[in-house]
Amino acid sequence: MDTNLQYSYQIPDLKTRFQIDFGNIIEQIVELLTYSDVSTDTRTFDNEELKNKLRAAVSYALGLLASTSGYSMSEKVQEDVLIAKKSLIALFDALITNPELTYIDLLEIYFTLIQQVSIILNYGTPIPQPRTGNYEIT
Amino acid sequence: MERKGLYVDFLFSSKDEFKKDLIERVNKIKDIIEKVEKKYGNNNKVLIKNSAIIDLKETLILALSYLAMLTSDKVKEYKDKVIEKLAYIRENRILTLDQYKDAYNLLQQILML
Repeated sequence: MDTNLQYSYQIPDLKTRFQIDFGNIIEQIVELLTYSDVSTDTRTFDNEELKNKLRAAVSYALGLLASTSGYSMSEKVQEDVLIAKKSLIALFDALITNPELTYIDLLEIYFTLIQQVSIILNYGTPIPQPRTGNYEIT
Repeated sequence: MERKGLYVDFLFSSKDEFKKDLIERVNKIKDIIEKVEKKYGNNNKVLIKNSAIIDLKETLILALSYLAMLTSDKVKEYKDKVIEKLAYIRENRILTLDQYKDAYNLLQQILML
C-alpha cells in the first residue's frame, strides 16, 4: 500500500450544496404543478405530495440563506435578508398549519419561494475561502 | 460539478439564461397554434387538449418562475394573470383556440417586461 498517497479533492461549499438541493427539489415541484391533475398508470399526483416538496424547498431556501451569513453585506442587504427570512418562515408556517391550501395557494407559495431565493442569490460578496486542499497521508 | 436541469442552471447562472429557455418554449406554443390554424382554420370551436395543454402549463409555470426573478412594478399583475390561467386549465383541462391564443399573448407580454 502506498502510504505516501497524495490527492486533491474539492468539496462544494455549503451555499453550493443548498443551491443544488434546492434546484433539484424545485424541478420536482414544477413537475407536480404541471401534472397535479393527471393520474397516470404508475403514479397519482396530489396536493399533499406537492406540499411536502414545497416544505422541503422552503427548508433548503432557509439553509441557503443561513449559508450566506459569512458574506459581506451592506445594511440595506442585511434588511433584505431579514425580510427574506421572515417571508420564508411564513411560507413554512402556512404549509404546516393550513390543511386547506388550494392549487392557487400553492402556486402563490411557489412564486414567493422563487422570488425570495432569487433575492438571496444576489446577496453580497462571499468572503473567499479555499475550496481545494492537498492532503498528504503518511 | 455536474449541473443538471433548468432550475439548477438558474441558480448558477442568470435570469437571461432562464429567459432564453422561456422564449424557446413560447415559440413552441406559437408553433402549436400555427399547426392548429393550418389544419382547422381560425375556428374557435376547435378545442385544444392533451399534450398541447401540458406544453402550455409547463410554459406558464416557467413564466411564473421568470416573473419571480424580475423587479418590475408589473410583476404582481402578470403573476396574478398566470396563476389565474393555470387554475383555469387545472379545472377545465381543455381550452378553445381563442383561450389558447390568449395565453400565448400573455406569455409574449411577459417576455417584453
